[in-house]
Order: sequence, then C-alpha cells, then structure tokens
Amino acid sequence: MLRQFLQNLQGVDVYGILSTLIFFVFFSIVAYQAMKIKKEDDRKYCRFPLDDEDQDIQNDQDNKKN
Amino acid sequence: MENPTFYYDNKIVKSFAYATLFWGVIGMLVGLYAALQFIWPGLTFNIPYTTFGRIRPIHTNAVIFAFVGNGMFTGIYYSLQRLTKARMFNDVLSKVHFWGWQLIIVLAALSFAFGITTGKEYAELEWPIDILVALIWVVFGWNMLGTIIKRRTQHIYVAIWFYIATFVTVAILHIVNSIAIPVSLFKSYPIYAGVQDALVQWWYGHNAVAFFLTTPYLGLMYYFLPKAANRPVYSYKLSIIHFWALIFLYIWAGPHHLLYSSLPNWAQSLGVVFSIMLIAPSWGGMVNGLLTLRGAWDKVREDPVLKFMVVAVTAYGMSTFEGPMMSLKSVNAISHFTDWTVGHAHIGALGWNGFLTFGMLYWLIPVLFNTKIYSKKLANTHFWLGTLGIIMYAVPLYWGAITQALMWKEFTPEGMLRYPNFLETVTQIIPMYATRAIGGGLYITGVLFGVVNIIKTVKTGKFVGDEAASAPALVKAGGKAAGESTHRWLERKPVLFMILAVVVILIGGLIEIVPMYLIRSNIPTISSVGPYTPLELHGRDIYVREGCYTCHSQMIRPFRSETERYGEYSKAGEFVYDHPFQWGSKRNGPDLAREGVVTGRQYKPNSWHYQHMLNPQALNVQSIMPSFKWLISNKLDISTTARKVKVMQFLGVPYPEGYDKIANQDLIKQATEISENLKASGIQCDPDKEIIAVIAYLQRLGTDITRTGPAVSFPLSSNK
Repeated sequence: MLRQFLQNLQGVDVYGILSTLIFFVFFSIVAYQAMKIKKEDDRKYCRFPLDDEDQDIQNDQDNKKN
Repeated sequence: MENPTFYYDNKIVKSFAYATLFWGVIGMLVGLYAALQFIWPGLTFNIPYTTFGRIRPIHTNAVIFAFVGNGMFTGIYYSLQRLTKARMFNDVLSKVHFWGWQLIIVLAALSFAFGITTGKEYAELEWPIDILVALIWVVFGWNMLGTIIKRRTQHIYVAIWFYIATFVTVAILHIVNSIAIPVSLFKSYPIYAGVQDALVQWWYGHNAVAFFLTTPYLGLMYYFLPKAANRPVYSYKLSIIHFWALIFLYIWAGPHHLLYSSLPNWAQSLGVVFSIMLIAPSWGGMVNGLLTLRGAWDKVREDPVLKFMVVAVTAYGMSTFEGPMMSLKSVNAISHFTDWTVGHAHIGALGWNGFLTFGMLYWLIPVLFNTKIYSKKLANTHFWLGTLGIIMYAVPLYWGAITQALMWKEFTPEGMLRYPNFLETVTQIIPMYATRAIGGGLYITGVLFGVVNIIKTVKTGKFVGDEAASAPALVKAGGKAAGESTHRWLERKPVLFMILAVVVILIGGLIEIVPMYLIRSNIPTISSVGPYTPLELHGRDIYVREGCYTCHSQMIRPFRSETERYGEYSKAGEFVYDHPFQWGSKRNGPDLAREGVVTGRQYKPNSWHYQHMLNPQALNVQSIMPSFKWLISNKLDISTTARKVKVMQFLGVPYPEGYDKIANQDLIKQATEISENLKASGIQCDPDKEIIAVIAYLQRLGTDITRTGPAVSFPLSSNK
C-alpha cells in the first residue's frame, strides 16, 4: 500500500521543501526550549564538568528541588 | 550522614589510552607508506599485500576506528564516570569491549591485507567481522547506558548527550549499511545495488564522519576543554541548540558525496541544502568551545594542552565550513574526485580528531598517574611539528587538486581536450604529493615525540587503578518540577532522551532512503543492461579485492570535459546489477566506466590490459600504478561460481533458473576465447588465470548501453 501511495505522489522532489520545513519546525521548538532557560540556571549548568564539589552541591540542590 | 564512597575504574581508561597511541602510530605510518607510493610506485615491492588498493583501507580504518575509536573510548570511559559520579556499570563488559575492539582492529588489518573487503569505503569489513563489530558495539552501549542509569547525578551533561547519539546512530548506520548475503566466510554481496547502494553507503560514510569522528569528540570537547582551561562551558543554551540541530541535520547530508552522479536530483538537492545548513550547528559547537576559553587565553600561550585543543576546535570550524562549501555543486564539480577531498578529510582527522586526542591525553595521563607532564618543551615541539605537518599536508593537496581539476577541464581553442592523457594530470602534481608526504612525516614525527613524552610521564608517576570518590545517592525524581524547563526534565530521563535522539536521526534517513527504494522512476531501467557473465562476475570480485575503486571511478559526470574524455555520461539504470556499486570517490587513475567500449576513447585491447597489469611502467614509465603480476599466476577459484550466481539470483539479478549449475561452462567458454585472443597477440596465458577474469570484466564496462540489441542472455550460447 505504501509503495502505491508513494508511486502516486506527484512531484516527489517537493521533499526538499517539506524536509526543510520539518527542520525549521523542529529547530524552532528546540530554540524555544533553550531560550526558556533562566540566565542563572544557564551559568550553573555550564559549570557541571568543572569540579566535584560543585557537582555535589548541585546534586544535593537538585535532589531537594525534586 | 557521610556520602558513600565508590571507585572510578581508571584501568580501562589507561588501556584505551595506550591503544590509542599504539594504533595512532601504526595507522599514520601506513598512511605515510601509502603517500610515498604516489612518488615511488615500486615501494609495493610487487607483492599483493602492499598495494595502495589494499593498504588504503588499512590506513583509513586504522586511523578512524583504531586511533580515533580508542581515543573516543578513552575519553568516554574517563568522563562518563565523573559526569555520572559512578563506576562503569560492569568491569567485565569494559574488558570485553576493550579486547573485542582490539581484536576487530587486528582482524580488519589482516583481512584488508589479504584482499578480503566489501569494497565500500569505511565499511570494507566482511560480514563475520561486521557481526563482531555489532556485538562489541552493543557491549559498549550496554555498559554506557548501564552507567548512566545507575548514576548519582540528576541530570546528564551535554557530553553524555553526544555519547548517546553516537551509540545509537553508529549502531543504526552500521547495521543498515552492512546487510549482505554471504557467498562464503570471506565474501558477501550487499543487498543493495547501484544507485541504492551508493545512497546507503554515503548515508553511512558521511555519518561515520558525523557520528564517529564528530559527535563523540564534541562530547569530549565539552568535558575536557572546560577541565583543561578550568573555565565553565560558554553557554548551556547554545549546547542544546547545537546538539539537536547537529544530529538532525547531519544525517541528511550524505548525498553531497554523489553530486552530478546518477543519483536522482531531488536526493542530491536535499544533500546540498542540509549540508549548507550544517554550518550553523557546527559553528555553534566551535563557538561554544572557543568562547569557553574567554578570560583564559593567556593560558593558551603557556599550556600545550590548550594549544592542542584550540587548534583542534579551530580545525573543526575550518573543516565544517569547507565541507558545506564543497557540497555546493559548482565547487563540487571541481573538488570531487580530486585530492581536495583528501586534504579536507585530513584537516578534520589530523587537526580536529588528532589534536583533540593529544590535548586530551596530555591532560589525562598526568591526572591518571598523579604527576605532571614530563616535558612541556617536548609537548610544545609535538604541537608545532603537528601544526606545520597539517599545513604542509593540506595546502599542497588543495593546490594539486585545483591544478588537476582544471587540467581535466581544459580545452584547446579547437575544442579538443588539452590534456587527453590522464597521466599528464597526475605527473603534474607529483611534487605536491611529495610535499604532502613531508607534511605527513612531520606530523608523525610530532606524534612520536608525544609518545616518548607520555611514556616518560607514565614512568615518573604512580597510577591509581581504582580512584576513590564519594557522592550522595540519587533520589529518584518523578515528573517535571515547578520551574523546571522541559529540556532539563528530559536530561533526567536518559532512556527517553535516547529514544528522541533515534527519532530525530531517523527522520532524515527515512525521507532520503525509503523513496529511493519505493519509487521506480528514480532508477529508470535500460533494456540493454544485463547481468555480468560468470567470468565477469569473478573479475569484478577481483577488482573489488584489489581495491581498484580507491584509484579509479566508474561514474562519468555530465560535463563536456568528462564525456569527451570517457564517453557517454553514466545513467542510473546501468548499475542495477552492481552489488556493490563501484563508483569510487577519487581518481588517481582515469575513470573506467566506459573502459570496454570498442569505439570509445578509453578502449584498450586484451593484450594491453595483460601487459598493464604485469608492469604498468613498461607501457608508460611515468605511471604510478603498481604491478598486479600475481593476477597472471593466480588460478581463478571457480568453485564458488554456483554460489555467487545463487546469491545474485536471490538479490534479484535475473539469471535463468538453474543457471548456477551450468555457469562454469559459460565461464570456461568465455575465458578460452580471451586466452585465444591473447595468444593471437603473442601472449601465452591459460584460461584459468585470474587476469583473464579481470580482462573480461574491464572489457564489459560501459558496453551495455552501446549495445543495439537486447541485454546479454544466459546461457551465453543463446546470444546471437
């Protein structure tokens, strides 16, 4: 059925436009999610790999928060 | 209450680090050996195991999967434990992964040297090793995901996102591209043919670059660069956008390796559009890496670790700009099939992967051994030799590539090709090849200094195999907390994160590949194109075995300069029985797609092919092709003919029912005819030699579309 459906598609090269649209929708969602993050949180998360002590503190805070 | 103590497994990190250095040296030396063969073709010593066609896959696989692969695992095993505050999930799995991976590397090197190859670039491994790769990759993934699940941190850091994407995508790419039907233990035919095989192969090939050479190393960058600079990552927000956009876009870009080929235009266009868009997330990553050093640039002057990392990230930025540029059709028309691609690949491999690996090791080894680097001076010498090596490697290749491409395309005022002899365009750039080899030699010299420095560092330190650490146990959190962003919530759900990553990478793959299989108009059939005769089929397999595709393309692009030189441009329908496709990606020698067309410019008689394989320099002293004289003494193994025909039938090649039982009769008949023809030219060659099969194959190339009648029918005696 899928084969017949695709074979009947006119101008299958419209895939180019569709694909780009899919990406921009996806990109907009990701960008929106990223932008929602507060500045102070952004700074905190950026320190994650730096040192163990910070991680422990952050871990404790996250545990309490949740 | 005190936090519980646990121990990081440093032993596995050390093992992978040593393997990285060992295979790095081997892989690069093989590369240098291959580069020197362009200047001195006699360096093969006329033995089969050392020809460019066989050692080129040894070099590429050793550097990609052995050097970078072990480098990736070194960094992942170290950083993952720290980022999750947990020991690796299972020590036995770690060991199985390590030794399994080394076994694969050894088997790969041996199999390529013996000519056991699928003939698909970066996926040359035959089916038993492919299965082993899949199993060991699952062990790696199981160990990694197990560690992530038992972590003591709430969230998974950006480096781990990249590790997860690497694991799932490489698994999918490897499995889809490696599906093949075995003929014997050492031989198989891929289920895909021609255009479809090319699309799947370069979907894999490009994403091997993306998900083996790029995403895991971006993960390493996000961990080791902040550690080395002692600075937080520039932007967490940017890392989110960078990660998702990168994995979404990368998977679409494969067709840019097939521009102006017989791939349908819509797929080529998709590849171009998404390749151009790739600049944005790639540079997002580069910017995030370089800006991590804000306020710490003074350290770069002093610290060799940061020097390596800065050049690595810069090389990443350069090659991810250059790649999309090469995907523009007008640029690709010049760059494709030339050394530009090789130069581009080495900016990535030597600069991005190589330098990030050495930066990481210079930071990591002293940490593992509780000491300082043995000699900063030596590390700096390594850095400068490497940097100079990269420049001296890439610049001559760019120069040579543009020179050669322009020579291919140049016409006289009378409308004739200015350089009709392909060899002229090769000899012109031999000095550039020599300079490239010097550049490679400098890089390897630097690496050897690095190895000495690391050995000395190891000797001055004391290794701690199990490093104590403590952290509070993870309190399982449920749904989204108030004020928690969706992405932050997702970072607490690694399995869901992985599923989403799979969905994102599948979108591009499916939209490109599925229509190619389901829509017949993508590959218009040509009635005069028929299956290979049994002798030609054997000849083709020898062509694959010897790695002829590493120097010769079989894809004439629709340019006047190519149709004048080689003949009619290639059509999709010509390749429907090609398992695997052999379009190639680089022309060190001329295209062979119309080699057998008697009226064509490229045509040579059987005797020429015989002499050429025996001693290319006897026909043209400037030729850089190695001798393949063993083809003249090797006896053709016809015991596999029936099985080969059966497998081809299974794959849809229309040999008549029961043909496998009589195929060898046709084979002997055709071989005898070629042997008689050689005899008439004064060459005594028995019909049961491999050279006869290779000649049969070469003389078949391109002849189908010039046939006036229907396709070849079987048995051969039925043809009029």
